[in-house]
Amino acid sequence: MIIYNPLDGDAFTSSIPSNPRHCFLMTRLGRPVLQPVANIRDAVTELCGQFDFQVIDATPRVTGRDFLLKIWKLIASAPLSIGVCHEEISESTQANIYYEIGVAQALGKETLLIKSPGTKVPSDFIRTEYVEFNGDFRCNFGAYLESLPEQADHYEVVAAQLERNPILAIDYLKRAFLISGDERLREKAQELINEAALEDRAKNSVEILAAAF
Amino acid sequence: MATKKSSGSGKRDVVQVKNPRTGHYVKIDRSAGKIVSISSLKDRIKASPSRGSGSDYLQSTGWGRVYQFYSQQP
Repeated sequence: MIIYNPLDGDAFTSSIPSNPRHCFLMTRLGRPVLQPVANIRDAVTELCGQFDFQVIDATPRVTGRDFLLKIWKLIASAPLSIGVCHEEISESTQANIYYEIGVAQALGKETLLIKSPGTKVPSDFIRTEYVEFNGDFRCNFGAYLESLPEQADHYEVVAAQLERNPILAIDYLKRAFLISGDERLREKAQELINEAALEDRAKNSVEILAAAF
Repeated sequence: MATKKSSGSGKRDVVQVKNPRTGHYVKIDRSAGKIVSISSLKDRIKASPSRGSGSDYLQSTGWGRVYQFYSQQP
């Protein structure tokens, strides 16, 4: 997949390291801590842990580079992006969260919105899957996480049908790999590249980068 | 998983795969290497039984969620 740098519009020509079985959490991160949001974060982190998904966000990683770029790369690196919205989060922060959900959807990630019952969702997101943070949250979010392996299987099946379109097949294999962490899928992608006889391509060509996940 | 070449002599080879997230079926033209469309429930009812090379492919791989949709001349 070609990913364009949001800062200058030019394509990334180096690979973004993968974070398989990671969940990128998008919510208010700064101080003062909003306790209701902290409660949602804790519940998400705990349940993700039960399903062997590690939660990451933009705070603990200091890159010295642009914050937006860091967010894009974290979204691109992980299979799952979850936005957490609560009515106590300011409008400007909620706008950032929805923007990041949009970025994740454009990059083909699994996306989920977790919202408090009082949060109003923008019209562009009414078809985005969401889970309310209420008494059924653990059951509903757990069911969502439980469904992810089947989605990974689906991506692998689609990849197998796309042998005439190797770059697209590789992208589906990458999506399956990020969810499952199954090294076999990386090997499959390499096989597709090898079969395509692309030895003369540059190491940072779109084809070679696609399989370098 | 092994794959099988699409049928020769210009025949199209279309399969459909159920996306578990949406419950919709995704049609894939294997010959053209492209995702054709997402079919509705109405399309699913119209889908013909497996036949031809696609059926052989399904038997060879054992993937239960891939369905031969149709084969036709382009």
